[in-house]
Amino acid sequence: MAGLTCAHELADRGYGSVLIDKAPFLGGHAVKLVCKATSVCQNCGACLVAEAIRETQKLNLINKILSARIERLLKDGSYFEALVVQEPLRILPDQCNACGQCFRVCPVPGAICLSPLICTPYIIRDVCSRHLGNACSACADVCPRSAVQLSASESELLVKSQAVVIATGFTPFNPAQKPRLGYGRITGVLTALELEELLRNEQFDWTPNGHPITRVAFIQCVGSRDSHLGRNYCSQVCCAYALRMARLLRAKQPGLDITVFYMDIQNFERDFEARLREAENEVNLCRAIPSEARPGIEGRVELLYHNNLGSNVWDSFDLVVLSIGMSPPDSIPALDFVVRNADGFFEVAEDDSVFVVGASGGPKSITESIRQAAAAAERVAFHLERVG
Amino acid sequence: MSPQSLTGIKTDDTISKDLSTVLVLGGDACSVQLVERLCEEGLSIIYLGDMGPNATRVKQMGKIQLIPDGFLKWITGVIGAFNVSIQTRNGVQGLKAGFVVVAQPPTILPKFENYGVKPANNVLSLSPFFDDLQREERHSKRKADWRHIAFFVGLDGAADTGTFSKVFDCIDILIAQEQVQCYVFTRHLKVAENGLEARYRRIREAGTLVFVFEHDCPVVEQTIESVKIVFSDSQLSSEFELTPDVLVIDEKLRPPTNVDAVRALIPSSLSSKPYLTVASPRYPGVSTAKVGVFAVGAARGEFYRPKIADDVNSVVGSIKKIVALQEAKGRGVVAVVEPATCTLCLTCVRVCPHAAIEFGVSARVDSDACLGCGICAAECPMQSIALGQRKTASENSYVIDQHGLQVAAHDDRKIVAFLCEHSAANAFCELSSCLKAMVNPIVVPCAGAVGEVDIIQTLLNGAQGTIVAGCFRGNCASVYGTNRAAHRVSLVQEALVDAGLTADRLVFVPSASNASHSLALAIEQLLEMSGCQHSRETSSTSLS
Repeated sequence: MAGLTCAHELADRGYGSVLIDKAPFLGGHAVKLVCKATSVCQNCGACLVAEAIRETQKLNLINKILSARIERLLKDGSYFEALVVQEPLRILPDQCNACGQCFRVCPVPGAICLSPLICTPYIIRDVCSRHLGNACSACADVCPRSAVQLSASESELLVKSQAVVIATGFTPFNPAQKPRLGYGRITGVLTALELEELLRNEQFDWTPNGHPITRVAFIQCVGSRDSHLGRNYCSQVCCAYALRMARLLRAKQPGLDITVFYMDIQNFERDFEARLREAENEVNLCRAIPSEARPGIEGRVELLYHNNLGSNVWDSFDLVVLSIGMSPPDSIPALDFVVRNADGFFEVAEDDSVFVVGASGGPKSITESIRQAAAAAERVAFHLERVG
Repeated sequence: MSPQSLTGIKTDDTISKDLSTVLVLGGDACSVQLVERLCEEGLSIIYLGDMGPNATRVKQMGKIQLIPDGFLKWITGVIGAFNVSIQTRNGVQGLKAGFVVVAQPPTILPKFENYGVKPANNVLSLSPFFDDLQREERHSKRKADWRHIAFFVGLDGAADTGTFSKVFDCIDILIAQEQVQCYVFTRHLKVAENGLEARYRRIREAGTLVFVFEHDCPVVEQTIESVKIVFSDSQLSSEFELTPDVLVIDEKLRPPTNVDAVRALIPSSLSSKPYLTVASPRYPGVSTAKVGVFAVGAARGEFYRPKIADDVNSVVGSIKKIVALQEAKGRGVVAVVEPATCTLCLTCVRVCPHAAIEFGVSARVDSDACLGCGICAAECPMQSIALGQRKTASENSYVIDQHGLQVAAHDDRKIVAFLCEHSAANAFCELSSCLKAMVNPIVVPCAGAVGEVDIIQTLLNGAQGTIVAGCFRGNCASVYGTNRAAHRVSLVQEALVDAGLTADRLVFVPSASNASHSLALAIEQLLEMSGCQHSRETSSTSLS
């Protein structure tokens, strides 16, 4: 989202940009999030991501290179020269009209997936039968707009620019690193990001194991504020998303009993206290982080926690949602002039033509990313004015 | 809405614009930096507020008028032509400005009363305590007799990261004096900023004791000589007493209180009081609902220093973008008033969320301030306002843009849907093609642009169902456009019932760009009602 905002802001000022994304679609993790509006907007900002992506299609100052990685980045005077390598098996998003024929004709399940927005298809190379050595070209043959490109090898592109903006976002924390919470071991334990995707695609099962979901637990700070994992930072978004999600679930299932296990509730909005009081009417806030999860009867999940009376109790829930934190982004080998701060996120060492925006520089919500990227775009523009 | 007679309307755009002067209501720490950046961009500045020791240096930077002891009496006008009245010691001064930036410091409210204590030599408010500490550090003169210092931070449930950051600053200075032991009493630790959790860990590792209370807050027994804190620890289930040398009380940070003059300039900002910016994800930064007025830091509800520093760039960038747009005359679709039929009822002035309408002999929409939402056009009882686009950059003549509101009488598509271009139009794109084929989509700049007449016209033209789809409340780019749309739909529904008809063929659907479900459901229900065969299976998104 930060990268999109920055590109837009630069386009507004008449500067062109090239968006290079390793994913086959734009929008990063933010595009997978569900709208949290109950009867009113809950200020999550997820809709703005969809709008920014649609806007990008209209602006010809923004070029997109998807399913790509940067192989090499050299600086020559005030110019950067990036060698960009693109996946061999691609569906060109600008040509595709989302008719869905390739998706239907593909003989290998899971080889063609649909992007979260606009449902444009893309190919998963490792699953595609062509990558595995077969001569299949069913998708390319059926495509009426020649959008499917099945090259034999990766294609290389040279991109020249006067500034580099790093907006690689975050990596979701892998809760398997906290095995006692049962993720991957107990059905009924999922990450907040998984729940978002299920709700977004309307694939969420409200009656798993035959009985309806009545009790839901959110566990906060999974992978955040955890010195045992070396994560001495707050992910800044999880309190907001858990409380918004809880209220969304309640709007969908009014009788739902929701408990949020937390350490401290962080401010996420101005007039936060009023928001928190509203949430308290709908959600049980419990100051404790469960230490262990075990399978319960009828597919439920039991959590062990220390209650406010000072004793350890096991409590049973139909669904446990882990509010996973933001981990620093993966390294980009070609960008060796970017260093990491104490929390592991990116910062720029000594280069006034390289900028870090969005969650790659530290945990940020969607609206914070937009705000920060818009401010950063002005610094980029200022730099571009000076180099001429 | 707008009769054809408006086509090719000419307006009298005699107002002279000056986009080179910025009025800065300053005082916040970042406002000096803001002035410096604006000067670099060649803008002239009127700075209202005390700049302290920076004044002499900043004065040399460009065209700057410093008014250190002034008070903003009132301000009127639109972008490029704000009329400002400033009360100074020497009387009232009238000035003109192109932009307004509110960059005043937060209002700091001490919390003594919240904790039932009185200010005393040993009971201090956070800001003065911090300022004192910094000064003493500079003069390397220490309060040698301090041993125990307690901080109350957000024990009443209200605190922000800015306050915690300041408390950690104090503790950093204090623990440099080795004999001082610090205690922090709080309810929720607010560490949701980069680096703040790590700072919290550091002060704890350095020996600071932090007590977190859920319900049973500590009780303070204050006498003239001493202050005693009595508290119980639920984990150890025992009571403790602490008699600190100093008890430091946190403060409530609020937006600046002296911005009523600016608020009067943007009537719709009243709905987001005490802040100046709209509480909507569409306004994440410094922009207010009125073009050319910006709120920095506390005025928009941000109190954390490093984030306020970003606002300087946001303001400079926004001003540069507006200047570039004005030069290109590229504002796009705006509202235009036909002076001949305007009766000066001022409905438009009242309903415009962007405060873009002024009046003289007739109402006049300022084309730089107008965002083209069309709410005024829908509300105008004389139908004297239409949305249009400037014909050429040089002439003040407009081509009226009907935004498709003129509904074709015999469209074979059964359902008419008015779609807000910000939200519902995007959601509509995600619907399945067979569902789309059943609908005549009319994209409008805001759901608030759809008038009662437009809605009734669709039904008269034989629509089987009519949908007005806007943003969710609180998400509208025109603040309350979607509320007005919902209200109008309910008015038409009532009228239909009064006329002996059923109202269920008309619905208001709040929708978001990334959620097409509610729109799909509404269309399906209307189709079912009109007896149209339409299987549910084919209606989910196109490919799945």
